[in-house]
Amino acid sequence: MVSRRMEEGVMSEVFQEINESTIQIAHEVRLKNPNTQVLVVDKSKDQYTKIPLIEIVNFLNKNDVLVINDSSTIPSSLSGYYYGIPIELRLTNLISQNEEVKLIEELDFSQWQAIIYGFGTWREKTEDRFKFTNLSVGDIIYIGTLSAEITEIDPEFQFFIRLKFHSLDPTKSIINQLYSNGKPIQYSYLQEDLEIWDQQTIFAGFPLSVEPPSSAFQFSWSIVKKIQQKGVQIIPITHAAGISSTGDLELDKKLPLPEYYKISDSSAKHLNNAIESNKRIIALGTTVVRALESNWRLSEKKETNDKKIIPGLFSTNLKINEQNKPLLIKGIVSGLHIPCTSHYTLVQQFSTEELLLKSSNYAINEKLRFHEYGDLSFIF
Amino acid sequence: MKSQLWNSKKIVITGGTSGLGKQLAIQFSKTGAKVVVIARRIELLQKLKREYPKIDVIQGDISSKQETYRLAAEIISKLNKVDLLINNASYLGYTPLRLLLDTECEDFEIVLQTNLIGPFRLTKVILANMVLNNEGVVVNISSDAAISSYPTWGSYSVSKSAFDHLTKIWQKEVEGTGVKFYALDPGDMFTPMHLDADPSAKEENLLDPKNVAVDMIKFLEVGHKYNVVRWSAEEWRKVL
Repeated sequence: MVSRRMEEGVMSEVFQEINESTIQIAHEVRLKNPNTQVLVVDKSKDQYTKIPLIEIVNFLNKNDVLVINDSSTIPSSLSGYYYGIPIELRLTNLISQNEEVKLIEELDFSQWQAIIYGFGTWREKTEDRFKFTNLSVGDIIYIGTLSAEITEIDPEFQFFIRLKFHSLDPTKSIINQLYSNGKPIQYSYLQEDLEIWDQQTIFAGFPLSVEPPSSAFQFSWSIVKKIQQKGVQIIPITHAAGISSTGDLELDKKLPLPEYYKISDSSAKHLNNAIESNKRIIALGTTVVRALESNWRLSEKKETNDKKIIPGLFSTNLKINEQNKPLLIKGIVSGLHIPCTSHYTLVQQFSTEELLLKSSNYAINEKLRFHEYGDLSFIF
Repeated sequence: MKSQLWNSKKIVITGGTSGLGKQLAIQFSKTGAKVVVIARRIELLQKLKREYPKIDVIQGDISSKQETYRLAAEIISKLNKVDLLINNASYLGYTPLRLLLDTECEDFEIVLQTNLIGPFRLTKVILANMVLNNEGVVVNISSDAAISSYPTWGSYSVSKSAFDHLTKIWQKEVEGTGVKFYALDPGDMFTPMHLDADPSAKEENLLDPKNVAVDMIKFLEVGHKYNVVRWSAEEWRKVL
């Protein structure tokens, strides 16, 4: 997800070379953007260009592997009442579970970390929303047919809490109640309300993300078929895309929070075969990079020469940056990110600072659209 | 059921609280498969759960767009993946059955929502995972009304005919992925739905849904050997 820091006025020296008022932001949901463009940035040739999305197949090689995130996005914005006061809960991440939980279907959906906003609506920027400072552990928040007990309050950020959901209807599961009472997280820069189907990618499967793995928004199955016909293998993993912005710059520095990811036996096998055959592994989205790079580092820690992708359910808060460069993945397809955001830092690891800055300027001049519902970049 | 093929397989059946759907759920559950039944009526789901505790139940209306995403989330969060989806739930429309000229457009629409658009939506959200994993089976329960033009069966007949065609096109589009689609006509069974359509029907003239379910499971063990998508009630029994 693209952070909305630009709205918050965070600019670096390098980015001051770009006139931010000229940046095009995608204001409409994915279904209204049939002519997606891709900014292709090729480090080896020190070149960049823009192409229609369908032509991305021309920049993929026969033996490439494209890894996608098949999580679906849950309705993680819940409107309710705290002592009679209207509030909005935004789920940020599932809390770490009992270590005995090894299968994704055993995850307990009742315990979450969340931000609690008071007053206002999603049409206001999150940084302008009222943030509580007087919550108490044990307090109950009522959300339709769900209740949420506050189990922990962050000592530094009082509006950042841990909670445990209870279904007020014993015949219904927590996941049922989240869908019945919640809505997808809404974005103040969009023109319309988002429905649950607006936030799903074509790969959407296990309900785990609180915000969409949006890099796949513009992909269709007909594009996927063309990619497969070229010989590119598509491998799914499941990663819980977390919240992109909390409305507090200091708390944002803690992002990404720990996020669950799962690699199936079959995907691990295909990935290990690809690694052995020296195939180019490309990530569709930043979540895929975090999951795979984190997993790859697991076998590094085992101090064995047998480095490989390990199947299973894991949690990660790995930040990819100058200190943690990608070790496995050679390219990324992602949205267009604004310099100085954490996502820009991540994709920059697949290029050079100068080339990415030049190509970003080019994207702005060519009026490519930034943010979740906009155009894409393919950086390798 | 002696076959080990279904042991631990993950199976979703819509409309599984009566008739064929219920019998498929019971018979599949006996094989060791993990079965999830989706139906609208909570009292029937609870009864099924009491009688067969191994069967998981989810309440929901597949004809509702809003509920499809909740249903898919509940299914996948319980099972992680689906090996076999049986789109069995269907609605006859207003009974006693009427001539098309007497059919309200709104009722026609509800039949299409339940028998065609609802299963299309549910399949769509589950199929992506099957295609990505190169395996999975989707069974769409058909009817001879999809082929024959029986007067007064208009809405149902049209919905089943379109459902057959949807199944065939879907099969062509997933060719080579390892995913298999079937449209299966179970034949005329002694079920609450059949009695709604024909209150004078006699049990001795109709198939027992339990036997149909047992045979259908046997068919699904061999059906992949044939390059056929739509099977009449006679055709699929011939290959058992």
